[in-house]
Amino acid sequence: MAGTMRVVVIGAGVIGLSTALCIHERYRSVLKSLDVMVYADRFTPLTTTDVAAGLWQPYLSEPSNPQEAHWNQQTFNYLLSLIGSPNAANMGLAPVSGYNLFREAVPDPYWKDIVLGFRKLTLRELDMFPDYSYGWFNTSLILEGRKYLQWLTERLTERGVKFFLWKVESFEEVVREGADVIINCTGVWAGALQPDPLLQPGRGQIIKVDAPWLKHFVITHDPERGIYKSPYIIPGLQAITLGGIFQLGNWSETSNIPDHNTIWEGCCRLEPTLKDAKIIGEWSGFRPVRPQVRLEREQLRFGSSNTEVIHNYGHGGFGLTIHWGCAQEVAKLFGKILEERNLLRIPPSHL
Amino acid sequence: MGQWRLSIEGMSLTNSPMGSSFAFPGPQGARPATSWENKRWCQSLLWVPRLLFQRQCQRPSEREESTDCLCAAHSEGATQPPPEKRPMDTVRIAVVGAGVMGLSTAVCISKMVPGCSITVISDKFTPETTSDVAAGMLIPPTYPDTPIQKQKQWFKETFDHLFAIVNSAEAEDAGVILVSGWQIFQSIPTEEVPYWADVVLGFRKMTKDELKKFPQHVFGHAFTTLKCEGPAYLPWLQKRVKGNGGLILTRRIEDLWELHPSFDIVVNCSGLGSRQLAGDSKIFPVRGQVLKVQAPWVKHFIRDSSGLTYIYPGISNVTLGGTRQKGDWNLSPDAEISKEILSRCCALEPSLRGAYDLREKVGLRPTRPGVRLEKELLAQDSRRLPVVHHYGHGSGGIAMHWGTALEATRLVNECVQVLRTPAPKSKL
Repeated sequence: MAGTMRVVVIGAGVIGLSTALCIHERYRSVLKSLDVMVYADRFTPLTTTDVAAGLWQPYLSEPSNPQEAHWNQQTFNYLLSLIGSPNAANMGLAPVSGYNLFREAVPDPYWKDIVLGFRKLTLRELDMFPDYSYGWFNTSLILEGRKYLQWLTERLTERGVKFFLWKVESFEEVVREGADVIINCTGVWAGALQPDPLLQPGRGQIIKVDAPWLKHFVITHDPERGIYKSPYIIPGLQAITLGGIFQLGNWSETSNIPDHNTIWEGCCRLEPTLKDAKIIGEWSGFRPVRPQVRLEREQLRFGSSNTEVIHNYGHGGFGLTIHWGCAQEVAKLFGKILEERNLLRIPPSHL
Repeated sequence: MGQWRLSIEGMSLTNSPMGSSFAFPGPQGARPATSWENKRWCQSLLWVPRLLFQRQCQRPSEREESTDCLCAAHSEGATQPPPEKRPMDTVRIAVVGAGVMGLSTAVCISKMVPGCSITVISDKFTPETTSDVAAGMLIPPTYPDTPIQKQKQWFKETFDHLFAIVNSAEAEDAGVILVSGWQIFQSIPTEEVPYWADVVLGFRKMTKDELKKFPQHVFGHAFTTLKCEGPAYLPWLQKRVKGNGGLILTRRIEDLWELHPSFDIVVNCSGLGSRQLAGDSKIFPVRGQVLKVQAPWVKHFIRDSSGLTYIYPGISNVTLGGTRQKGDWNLSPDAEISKEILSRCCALEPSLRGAYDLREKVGLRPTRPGVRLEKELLAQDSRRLPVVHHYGHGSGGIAMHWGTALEATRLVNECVQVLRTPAPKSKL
């Protein structure tokens, strides 16, 4: 039907829900009728996003796709603009400051001017971390996965977006349901819908503790071992996340004792007062690791119909950090589809 | 050592681990005018009028100079000079007040002054002291009557002391945490860098982007400092006092002379109580009302440079403040003021509208143009009582406490030296 769009978003993690919201916010008013539906086999608190500590921080090295740096910045600026709002904490959003620690001097990260107040650590500050000799201090943001997903779900529900608990086995079955455009936000499981040898799980395990006296994040780095393989302590809105596990190719979703010990010993060494912390729980999740984020259109032919798929997956350990920039980009691609199909009532305003 | 013969008439005794015992006068306790000269009471034995201790020397041939031993066996009523301490004798020190000043001074004395016994005496203990209400942020005030170098020294000594604790496994027990944040100004200050800038960590001016969060403010400091919370820190200090052999006693002192002659030196840490105890009219309350609320997502402190509005996240709550009401003694919270504090704080941090479990607290800052840190020898008839005054820190109690406690301890040491130095014999 002319002017109606049926969009199915597959995946209800931060990528799926934020993309759904972005599309609906931008195009609901310019289309005769927009139907957005979310299909997923996991909803909060069972998504990968729920396991993430939630700190806005990209990887240290520049991404191979420079657009990703731009999407990271867009996300930070967007979240920062929400900080003055009374609802920030309800969204799971709060400013947080802290330390990145190294064993030797390293170049400044490309995002140093995105975060607030970036500077090197003074000698007295380094005295607090006897195993480390160099580091940074900056103010960033926490976007707690669970709270944010709940908030996104509320916003989407208000807008009439419907949610379906459905394990999608193929794009074809979604097309048969009547989807015009599919947004593929299936994260680490994208390979089940379309083989992608570039996509791998980067398994993480985290311990959540009650230690309300800790107000700063502390992230240690061991460049030889790789990102997130060194202890980190990240305060959330209520609990503290302890981590330091990154295992490429490991599909085990259960938490294990050796990893628990690695995390616990590493973090207690970093912060001795953790001995008094009460453990709330332990979780594992799979960072959807890929050399680059897959964010692109693809046309699929099923029978007589042409279905547009927009892929948006492979955000590794920086999904929350990059999500809004990617959602905007998907919305842009979606806008192009509408133009091509002459579906726009009025030209889309540049939001 | 002689044998102790002890006769008690009615008063309760408390035994200290040091082996000495004493009792206190009852509320009516007017002391009769017994003098050292006439009664020859030996040291560390107390007290009049109900309790008598007598020490008898076993072997007269071993006795020292008659002026050193004051037991009945050795002198018959000749006038004696004021009490002296042989180097081995325990000096009995009473610390009046169990807020952060009293307890930290007691700990310092127990560590730094050898051969003394310490008793902390107060009518109020944690969690009912002024120190328990204070947020405990290490952001020092400026005392008009104290040289800046001295204030910086006190602040640095306190910061270093607490910094060592925060880096240890005891930080949470002691109630000391690290916290970062901003001090913001509505107009550019004449002094852009305060004297304490290099004592706190990572001090720098706020960037333009950081200031965007505070549209009413044009300038700011960003730094990391410490927060030391009374309700945990005071019990932690009390444990240390007791662990070092000190005693803690609940009692309201109405007059410093009550401590004579049971104690050789009095350390007066009674805060506002010094108006009465030391007759000090220079000290007055500056009333502070605060809200302690639940808002665990607030990880940074925010302080308006006026000192009137602040948000201080702590271990288990966030302190919102405040007020500075000079000369106001009212300890009851005012609901209108609470509303107004909340509104001022929400203007700086809108997410505080979601704060829950709000509790009101009031503290009276013991304010003076300068901290009173000095010795005074009280004299009445032939009685002498050395006093070290250590009070009047206003809004800078927690921020300066360890530095001033160290100084008070030096003064106590001076008093102890005097007591242990044999006086020249007076010509009578």
